[in-house]
Amino acid sequence: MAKRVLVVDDAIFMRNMIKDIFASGGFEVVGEAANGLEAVEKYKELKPDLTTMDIVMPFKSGIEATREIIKADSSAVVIMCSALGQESLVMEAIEAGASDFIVKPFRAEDVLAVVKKVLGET
Amino acid sequence: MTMDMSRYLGLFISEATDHLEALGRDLVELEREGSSSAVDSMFRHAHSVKGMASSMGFEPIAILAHRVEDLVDAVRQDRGRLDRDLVDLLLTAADTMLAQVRSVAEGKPPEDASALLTQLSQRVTVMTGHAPAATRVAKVTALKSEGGGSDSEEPGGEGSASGGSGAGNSGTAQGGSSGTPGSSGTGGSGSSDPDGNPGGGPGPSGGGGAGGSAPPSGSGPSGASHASGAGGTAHPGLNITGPSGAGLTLTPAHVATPPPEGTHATVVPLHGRRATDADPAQRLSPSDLANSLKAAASAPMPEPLAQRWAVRLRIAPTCQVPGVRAFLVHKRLTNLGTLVDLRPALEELKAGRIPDGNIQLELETPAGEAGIHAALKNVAEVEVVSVKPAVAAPVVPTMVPVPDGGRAPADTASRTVRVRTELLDYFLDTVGELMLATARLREVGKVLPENTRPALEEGVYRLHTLVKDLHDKVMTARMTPLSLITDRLPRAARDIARRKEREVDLVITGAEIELDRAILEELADPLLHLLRNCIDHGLESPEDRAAAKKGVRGRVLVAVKRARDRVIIELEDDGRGMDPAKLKNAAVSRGLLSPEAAARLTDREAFMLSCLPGVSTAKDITDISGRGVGMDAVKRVVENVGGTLEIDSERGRGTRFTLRLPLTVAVVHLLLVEVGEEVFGLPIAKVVGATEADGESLSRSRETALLPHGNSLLPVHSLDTLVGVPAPRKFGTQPFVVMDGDSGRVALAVDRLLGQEEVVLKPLSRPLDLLPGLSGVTILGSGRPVFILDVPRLLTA
Amino acid sequence: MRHVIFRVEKERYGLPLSAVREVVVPPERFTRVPRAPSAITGVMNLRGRVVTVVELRQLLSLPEGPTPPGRVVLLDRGRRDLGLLVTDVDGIEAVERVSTAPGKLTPAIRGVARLGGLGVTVLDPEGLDAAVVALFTHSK
Repeated sequence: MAKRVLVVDDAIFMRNMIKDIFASGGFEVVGEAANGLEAVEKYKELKPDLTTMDIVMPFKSGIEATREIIKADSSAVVIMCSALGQESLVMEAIEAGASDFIVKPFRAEDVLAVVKKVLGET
Repeated sequence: MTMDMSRYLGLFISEATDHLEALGRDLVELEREGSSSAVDSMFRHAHSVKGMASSMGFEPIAILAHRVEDLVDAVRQDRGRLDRDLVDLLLTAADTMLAQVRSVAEGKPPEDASALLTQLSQRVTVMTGHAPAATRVAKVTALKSEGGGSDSEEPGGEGSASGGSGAGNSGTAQGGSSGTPGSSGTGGSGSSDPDGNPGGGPGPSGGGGAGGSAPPSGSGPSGASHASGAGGTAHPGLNITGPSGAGLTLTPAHVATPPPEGTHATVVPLHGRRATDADPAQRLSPSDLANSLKAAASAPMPEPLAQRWAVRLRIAPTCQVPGVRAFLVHKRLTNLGTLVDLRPALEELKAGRIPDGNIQLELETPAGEAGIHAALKNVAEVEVVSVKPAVAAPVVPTMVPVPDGGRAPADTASRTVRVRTELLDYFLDTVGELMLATARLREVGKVLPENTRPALEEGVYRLHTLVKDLHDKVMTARMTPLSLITDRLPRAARDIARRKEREVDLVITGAEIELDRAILEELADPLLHLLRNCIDHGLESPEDRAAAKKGVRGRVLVAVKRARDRVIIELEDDGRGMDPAKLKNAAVSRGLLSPEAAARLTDREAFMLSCLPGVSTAKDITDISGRGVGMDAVKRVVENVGGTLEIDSERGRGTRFTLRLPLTVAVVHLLLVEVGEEVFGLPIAKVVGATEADGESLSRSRETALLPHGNSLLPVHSLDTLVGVPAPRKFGTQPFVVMDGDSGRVALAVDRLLGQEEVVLKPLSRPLDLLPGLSGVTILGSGRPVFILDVPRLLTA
Repeated sequence: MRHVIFRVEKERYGLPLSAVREVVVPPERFTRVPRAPSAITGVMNLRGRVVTVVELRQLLSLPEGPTPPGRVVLLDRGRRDLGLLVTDVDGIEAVERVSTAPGKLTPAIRGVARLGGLGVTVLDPEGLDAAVVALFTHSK
């Protein structure tokens, strides 16, 4: 069965791109969220196998959202979407319980490689 | 797999336009109202545009957005940096990006804005102190019109992006590894000059060559900072020497070992502490757990206890952020057990300083070899080179020096450790609370029956002595010599002077004097700014100096002195001095002051006008002093740490900035006095004595009563009027406190003397720090807040 | 956005929830601050921190009269320990659509909104801060 993915980013552009990447890799994107608040709610509702999480977002940052998701479900797999220069934020997210990270601009094969590795599919 | 980005074009155009328009609105709002939410939202807009543009391969837009992001981030750190110039610049950048997006919408590639980029980059360098980082851009083509090779992109795109930051290194390695030399020749979006310098920038059309990375050959202001810029973004990919892994050294055995019980390892970095032996399983994913259970069952040594393993790892050379990767590994392993050795050290790892990507560590874990493999199995870009049982080093009893018996290692005697500053802050706060609690206990003791009191009092006395001693030790640990920040000044002076074509001798004295590190850290930027101010605005050009019959070389003196419980830092130049009239005019013309109020100001007060935002006598706003923190920020910082700033100047002779700073967050001895219903503290250090007299019978000189004291008559001030607190009129004899003032001794009339107390001085927070005549506040054992008076200032202000 | 709603006499005010650290009962007596402007009620000891308390009525230049010391609304303003003396705190409500207040506008007032049919004056935390600092700097 295809793994279920929740995509969190405040830009529709990014969400669409990430969705397409997952679709090309045989994943099923079951939901999207545009900010940290929504992300936590959607997570609890959908219980996806994997969540991609942008860091800089309005209302609630991706780090805070990750912390709350992990608190609610310690086995949650959250992959941070970061840019170069955000290293310390990503480390903070890892402290908060993020499983791994991908670096913008994304390349489909890099994203899928990390994701498959994290899910233990390689 | 190549992504066809053209289908995202419409979305990119509409969303980027939204963000850029919002960015413009935020900027205007920020300039008008200065709300911090506007800065955060600006940062998000710039960040989003950068991400989208770089994904689309629109390098000119991505770099502009990146620079804007840098600048907004700098403003976020210090709002004082946002001036009108910067707002103009950011608005121009937003407009330019909008135009670029429009041009993309018309199917044309976005145009370069190299002049603007240069301005932005310089601004970033000035504000952050280092050159901007390279912008990573995907090598994709979203525009159909850009021509044929649109589907030839492959890994080469990424290689060249990383090459953009490194000066002439990885080109061939990257080219080789990508295996698609054809694609890199276009250089279309490969490398971005970190400085955006038109002079040396390879630009999108630059003939970058095989790797697409031409080293920027920019000269001028950015030249010197290249090294740091490149260093900041360097990856291990720069040093690819083949995956041989040779040259690894084995872990030396003389590593300190935890106590036999294995409860807490002594050399674990502080971050690792959270992982205890009790919970490694909790944070593992179910599959990890299963694996480690299996591993435990089939472990070569059937010991249930934690066993030590030597692990060698390598971060893939293609990893873009090896520091984060290594940190993730660290996190996974500390979840598994206790890390007893780690090389490079955690701080180095986090900073990405990992020679050849090699990491070696020793881990105590019950999970076994298979458990370690399982924990790392799911981490991308990490290769487990080897996992072997480690030979346990001989057990060293403890880290604490043993008082007698020679078994303690020789180097424990004067060992120094690095302690996080937050920890030092915590110690200090806690000691302060301890002192308060002790004082409270003593209060309680006062109401106990006589016969039970001595035992408690003795206990409280001992406690007090211990806490006091602990406080002294904590304070000592926090003291740091000023050289920590003054050591940077000579280099800075040289750079500023060179840019300004000035000649300057910088003399620094007293840098060995120590100050609480919290205060010291705050002072770094203000001192640098004052130095700039002296050289840039204070010193004349060599010709002008010669004409004024001064030596051609200007002189800036930084003198640090210790005066009782204060440290005084003077920065003095022998330049042209400041003109109080010009400062007044500037303040009046900017509407900060009425002409009448300006006329009443003394020269000294007029000099302080330079600390109002927006007032400067500089005719030209140079890119040295006109930017960065202003004098208003300097004053604010100095006052926030409990200090004062004074400016003295004489036309033609020079200017002197005097910073009076508290040595530390101090314990002070107070004489508590009562006035009306209020209690105030007077520093014992300033109290000469106390006496009683009948206020009515004192002789007077004009309005002032005079108190005989020794051989002299002292002017009497009524403390209730000085502090503006109503008190009943007094009759008969009343107490007077004799104190040292700035101009001789004075007598203060009070209602009652309450006794002496030793208290922890709390600095005054805003807005109390704006009041003259207060030197701090404290909380008595009864819980009552009491102000400590600065009598000389009360008398003059 | 959620706001803390409180009253000075009968007038209702709101502050964004994010700008309020806590609401406390004022002590029996405040320590008076030497030479402070009259709008400063005094300072109080809040678990070891010295908090400056301002009478909101005077800060906003409302008609004279002492505020019965009902509650202190502590602002979350970084290093600054600042509290507002108010009559009572009503609760937390969502306040939408803040429109510009009629008449003279001070930076401390962001605007007015309607809540359950009644008007609420919405305050601006940074403006309040600035107004307090202005009290101290312009009083001389």
